[in-house]
Amino acid sequence: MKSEDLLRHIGSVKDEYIEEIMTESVRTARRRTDSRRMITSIAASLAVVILGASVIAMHGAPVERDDLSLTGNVHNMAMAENSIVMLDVNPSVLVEVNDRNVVVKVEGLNDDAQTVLDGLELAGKEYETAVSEIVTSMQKNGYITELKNSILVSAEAATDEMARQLIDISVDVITQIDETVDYGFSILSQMIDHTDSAAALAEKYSVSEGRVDMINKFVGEHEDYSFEMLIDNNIQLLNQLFEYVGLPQGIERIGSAAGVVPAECEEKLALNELSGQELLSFASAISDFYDKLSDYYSAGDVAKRIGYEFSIVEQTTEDGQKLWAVLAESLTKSIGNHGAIINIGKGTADWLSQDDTGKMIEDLVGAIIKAA
Amino acid sequence: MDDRRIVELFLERSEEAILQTDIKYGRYCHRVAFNVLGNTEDSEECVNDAYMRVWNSIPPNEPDSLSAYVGKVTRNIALDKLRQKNSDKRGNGEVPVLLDELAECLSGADEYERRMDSEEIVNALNSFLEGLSTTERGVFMRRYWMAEPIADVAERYDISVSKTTTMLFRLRGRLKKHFMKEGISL
Repeated sequence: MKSEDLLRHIGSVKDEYIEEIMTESVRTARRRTDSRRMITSIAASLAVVILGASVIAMHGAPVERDDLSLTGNVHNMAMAENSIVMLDVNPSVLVEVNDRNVVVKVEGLNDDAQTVLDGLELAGKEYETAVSEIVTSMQKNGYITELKNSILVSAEAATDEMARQLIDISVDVITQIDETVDYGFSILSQMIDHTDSAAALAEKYSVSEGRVDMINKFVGEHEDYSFEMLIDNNIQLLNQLFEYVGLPQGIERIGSAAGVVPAECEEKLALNELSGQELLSFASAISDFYDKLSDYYSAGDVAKRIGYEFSIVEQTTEDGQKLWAVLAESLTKSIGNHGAIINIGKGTADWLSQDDTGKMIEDLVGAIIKAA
Repeated sequence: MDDRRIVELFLERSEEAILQTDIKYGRYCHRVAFNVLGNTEDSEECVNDAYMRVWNSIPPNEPDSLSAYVGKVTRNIALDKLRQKNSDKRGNGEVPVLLDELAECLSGADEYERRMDSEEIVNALNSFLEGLSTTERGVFMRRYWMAEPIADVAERYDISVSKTTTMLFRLRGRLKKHFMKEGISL
């Protein structure tokens, strides 16, 4: 084939690509909340062109025209922009999607994300397919399990409608995967605007702008927490924290985070008396307790609390430290009971042997009665 | 006027159809023709021929996209005219440079190997375009479909000429790889 033939073939591509260059001014831009966003907005407003139209007289004669400078129709030129979706677990993956929901670029923002993306060829695929492959790879690599069931989806697009559409697609795809594996995903989602400050923090900590934005939203509502305190934690622990403290505004959640104290037990605890750092440690210790239980039960059973009874008792020591005794009483004698003492002042949870668990409960109950 | 209504006017054999087509797409058609032919007089003739061909082909054709239809007709006529007028040279428009650029996308396979079905090639081009960002696709289409000079493409996308040149160079490389991946030897 000669290059002339290729030039001819290019002339036969899909109509939609031709329409695009005829009727639209295409620009790749990310929505911004800072001054650069303002510039983009102004550019969009100015993207109006007056097309000249020649007036022709048609009386059976061949078409005649004046020159092309005559004024004529005004065509609003829609801005076609790529959108960004970020998927965070601990791996942080950035997916750039064009206006046809086709993946243009995928970027791993941290080492874990490189592991997830290893061997995946996602550019050129439909967005749904890419999300499915990324989340499935996260599962295969152990970043998502029954006990680590949280994922954050952040969408950044030219309009809220476009961002919402991408979030909805993402949630649908992840939900479909969940129906297959029955992990009981907890899907956090949010629409975000690009800011230079968030981008700088995201780059500094090798995470997505979405994770930075979510933490900023939370910290903005809770003075007891700082960005630095939270940024090194994965989405699972942040989601567990939200289970105790509440979701920040602008974050939506479908499904509960695994590895937290059941709501009925939480009501008996005075967790609101804990400082931000203490509650974070508590959430982490409870999560560790569930992880350790998976040595004795399947991870799915641990997450869904099948086969054992979960209980937790809170006590304040003489020096004002809080202690919690956590117990998983097996409903089948062959597995036995498993417990732990959580002592934030001294560090993390201490795992107790089976022989100690019975005594632990007696001691704690005794201590509580004494304190009362 | 709505494209659908213009097509209906063609179907009704109303000459108003050509008037409305020219009002809406005349400038664009002229631009395509001029980019290929590099001559105002030839471009005028090309666009007029294109209108007549559209008039004669609707009906029986009933295009879903009038803009793409008119554009394709204009482009094909312009390339035909260029071939007729310049059997021994390549003309004055952008085409000579375009052809040199597009030669980079060819693999150099021999004639037997490169006998590919046109539909396969167009399908491969479509899947290549599908995977590009909107800007990349626009730059590629404006350069190789509309035959726009690189400086005009750069200005339209508010990027430098050198960046546009680099982008086009990379896109040609990617297109060549895409063809190879699709099993197409050109």
